[in-house]
Amino acid sequence: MKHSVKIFAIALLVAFSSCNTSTPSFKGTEMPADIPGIDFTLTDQNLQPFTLSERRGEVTLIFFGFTYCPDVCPLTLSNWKRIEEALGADAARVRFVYITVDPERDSPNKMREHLAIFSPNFIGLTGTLEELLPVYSAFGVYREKEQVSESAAGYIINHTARLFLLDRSGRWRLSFAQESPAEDVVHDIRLLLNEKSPQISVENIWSWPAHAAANGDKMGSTAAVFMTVINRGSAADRLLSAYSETAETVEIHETVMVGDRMKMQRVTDGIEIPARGQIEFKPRGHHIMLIGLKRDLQPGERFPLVLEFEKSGNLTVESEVREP
Amino acid sequence: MKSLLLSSGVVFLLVSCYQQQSQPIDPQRLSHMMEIRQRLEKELGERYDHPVAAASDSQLQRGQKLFIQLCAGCHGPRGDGKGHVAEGLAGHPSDFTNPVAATIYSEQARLQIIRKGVPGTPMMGWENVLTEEDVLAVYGYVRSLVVSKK
Repeated sequence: MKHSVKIFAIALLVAFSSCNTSTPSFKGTEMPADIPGIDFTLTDQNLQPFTLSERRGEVTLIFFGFTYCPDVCPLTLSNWKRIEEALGADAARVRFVYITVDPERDSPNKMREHLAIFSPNFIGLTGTLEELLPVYSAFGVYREKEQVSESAAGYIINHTARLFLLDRSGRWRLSFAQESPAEDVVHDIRLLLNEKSPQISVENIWSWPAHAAANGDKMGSTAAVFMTVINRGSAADRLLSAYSETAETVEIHETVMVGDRMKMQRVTDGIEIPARGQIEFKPRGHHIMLIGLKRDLQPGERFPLVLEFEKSGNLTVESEVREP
Repeated sequence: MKSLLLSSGVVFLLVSCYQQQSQPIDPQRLSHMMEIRQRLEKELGERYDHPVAAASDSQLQRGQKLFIQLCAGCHGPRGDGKGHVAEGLAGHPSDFTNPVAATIYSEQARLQIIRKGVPGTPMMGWENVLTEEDVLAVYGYVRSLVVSKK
């Protein structure tokens, strides 16, 4: 008992001291937390499709530019080169993504030639205007042609020249002025790389059909929910509890062997979802127990279930009712 | 081959002549320029040595405007190769004020570089962006940037 009080005190101390320093001071401008998620698929300089959400776990630096850009774009790319060098081994966990504002002239081939001058690791994205417009608008990128010569291609493009930094879960977190010192960007990239970021998703969620509890019999009717919880992040997370409006009580259960008998028991301290791993909730294994059903669960219907994770917060999923 | 040797010899003579007056060219850079020169000699054939007419005042004005818009980022507003982009670039943009550098390529060769760029370097070709008239205007202005120290 004494021991646990001590641990509690230490935990409290750690919690408090981390409170003071836990808001890391970013050098860039922080984006509001409720900014909508961004995803897109464009074509890279090797003619391969590039989807932003495909490689989670890496920090992504984005700039919009064009190869005929006489000043800010090559300047930014040379600055990226410095950032890449300053990051050293950490650079392998950062994607440098250069998106064209000039799809008319910037073919993948042109992007490849141009980016090769700076670094073999920079990714250059092109696409049709229809593919690119939603990306420009997601980042609030302005672009306008300015004619410099009489030929049809005789223009340059005035465009937003900010850098955008996305964290390892693909969320847009920071933006920088184009002329921000490389050290500032490196500083913030390092902060994002060190953030613990579980990446939880839940698949294949289902439960058996069941009838509602009879009047007054609160514990009478139960159903179990099964699913696969996947963590693509580089830090472990923990499923703490679950909630559903279909049942009076929702519990997390695990099956343990007591002697030679299987026994179901309630999990009180949650279930760990390991980094880059998954936990299967299945019959005779872990499952979510709905106790005291308020209504029937008919085959073919779906009902929402809220899962509370220690780090990832609440996640609302839908369970399908079907025969096993 | 003979003409190649001859031209290299001429350039070396030129370089040693000018060396006391202006910034010498780094040997590695010089050999890179020689490679470009040889390639352009082959590409342009007899056209390599054709002269380019002097630029008119209006052409120079036009050329200056385009130079500031498109070239100054790397080559600097005065054409000395010290643009603000240049610091970070792998190579060094050409210094148009250096009389030695200005004589390594022929006039037609320099025009061709503006049109086609130099592969493998940040110097890109502008023929898709600029009309031939504008390429000539830019070249006219570039030619006027050389600083002769006498």
